[in-house]
Amino acid sequence: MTIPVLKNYVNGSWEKSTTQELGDVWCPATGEKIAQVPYSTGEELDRAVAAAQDAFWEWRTTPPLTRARYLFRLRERFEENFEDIARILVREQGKTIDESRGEIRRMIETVEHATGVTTMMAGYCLEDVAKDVDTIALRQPIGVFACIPPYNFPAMVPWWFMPYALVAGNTYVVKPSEQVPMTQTRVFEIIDDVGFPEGVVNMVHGSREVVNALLYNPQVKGISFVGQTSTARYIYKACGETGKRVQALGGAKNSLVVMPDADLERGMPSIMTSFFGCAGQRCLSGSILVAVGDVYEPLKEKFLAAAKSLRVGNGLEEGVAMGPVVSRTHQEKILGYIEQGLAEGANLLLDGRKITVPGHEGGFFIGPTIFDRVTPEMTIAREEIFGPVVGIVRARDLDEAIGLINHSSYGNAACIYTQSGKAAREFQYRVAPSMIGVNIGIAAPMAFFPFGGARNSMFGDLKGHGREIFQFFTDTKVVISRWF
Amino acid sequence: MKLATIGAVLTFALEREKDAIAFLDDILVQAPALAEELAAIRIAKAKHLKMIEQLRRENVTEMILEPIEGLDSDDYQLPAQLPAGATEPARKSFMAALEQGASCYLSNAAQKVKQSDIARILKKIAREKDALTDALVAGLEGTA
Repeated sequence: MTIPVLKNYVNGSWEKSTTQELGDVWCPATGEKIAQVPYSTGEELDRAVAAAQDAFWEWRTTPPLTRARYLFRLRERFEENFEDIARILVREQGKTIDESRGEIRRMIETVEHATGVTTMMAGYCLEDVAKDVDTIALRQPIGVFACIPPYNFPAMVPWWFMPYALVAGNTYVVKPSEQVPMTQTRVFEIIDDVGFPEGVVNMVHGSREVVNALLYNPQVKGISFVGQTSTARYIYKACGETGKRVQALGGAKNSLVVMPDADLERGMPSIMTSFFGCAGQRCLSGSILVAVGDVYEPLKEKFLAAAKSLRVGNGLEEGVAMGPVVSRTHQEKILGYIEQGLAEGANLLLDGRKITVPGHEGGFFIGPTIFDRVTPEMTIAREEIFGPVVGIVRARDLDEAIGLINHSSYGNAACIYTQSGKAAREFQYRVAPSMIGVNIGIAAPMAFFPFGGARNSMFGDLKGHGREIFQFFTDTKVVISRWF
Repeated sequence: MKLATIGAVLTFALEREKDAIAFLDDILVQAPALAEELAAIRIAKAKHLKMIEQLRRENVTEMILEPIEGLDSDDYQLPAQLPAGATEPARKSFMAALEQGASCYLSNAAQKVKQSDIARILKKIAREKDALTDALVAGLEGTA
């Protein structure tokens, strides 16, 4: 079978990269190579940025409602191609087909939300700020923006930013994750069908060289990044150096606190989803299960039983509850963390290392893995594992649980399971993370609320989507006027 | 096969409907006199396919990793296809059985899935299939 080599989309055309350097794209469920991605050159990226810059003025002067109509058309085409995109995503990323469908839905929702541009981008004014003097504040697009998304949500994450940037009148360049570039390539085929003006939206595949070219290209006015913390910090620093706007979302180490009064029956499905959904490869995934007081034994028992019943397999098979992790390298990294947990004295209650999926012996599978007797200083309690590995930690009371959460260098998400409004309020009031779930295991803000964390989980001020995103993609120009 | 996820439940409903349409197409070839009844069922099936596809696209947004229990596709397989020389009443009975089987599956699925919005639509489709079945059975009584 011929392995396709993916192309870039620049200035309204598909282009073969001139690079000789190609990366391999793998199907995580089978371990087979399914495509090759070019590690495009810095010059190729610069050309895409130049095309975006050339397209900017005409696009910027296009009425917002006309720009929104491109998104309406795009939305319809996404619906028509929904299942196709969902299946490509599973093939290259490994998540289950239901998870993939959920991701595509979230992608479409941001497009839908962005079409409200005429309300959300509107400025404000006040007459008579002084005698006969009026003031208006306008939101104006800025120029070329870019996105560097991660491998765990190849469809959705670029669209946390791109529809808002475009509808606000900016032009755009996406560099998909080199591990999962096929989904966004399919999305760009649809973009091509919709017929955006040439140069308004571009995609350049690549790796470090393309990222650095984006960071240091003076025509790029802002960058949205989602990935691991070390890279987020690097992006943030570089954007500070070059004077770009930046929102750099990093890693996480999220805790789920279960109080003694929690409804375990009703809460367990979402607790399971939090830890094992997308094989734990979400920045909102639970990683530490904090059992408060007496809930420890019944929680451990139910959680273990539910985890044992999960069906692990090829995400393309309906009914599979958990797919593989994204790559062999990542699988080995997770296995390393499990070894480290054992070496540091944690008790392995459920061992996912030896899992086999018949017919998929080459796949990158790790089964649900649960450690008990985890203490805060252990590596598996501190570092982001990004896999289906859970550490159960005991806490005497809510106060101690909050202390554990706030001890972390990360601040993405935290969740509490309780029937007490007082406990929930105290929790949301005092914990450092920015995305809070109350009897919710994945505290994922939808398109119309901002997405992003605190501490080492986010560098920058303005988060992904929500109303605030229009601040990121526009400059507020204030006009103070007096007529004689 | 156990239907343990929302996607699996809805995908089986879709596949069952598509297979049923293929059966109906065969009947049309063999018995053109039933064209009117078949057309009504085809219209309903097209609508139901669209509704189920839309459910799968729009409602599978929260992944619930607690398996759905007690639904198995083996329990809802289509009846064996009719022989070529079947009588008109036999064909109508067969068509009614197709709809009745689908209704039974959708009603049971609606009870098992936890998302109330999905359950509501499945029940609605089941009700419409019951109405189709009733109409076919009434037609059968008329021919008896």
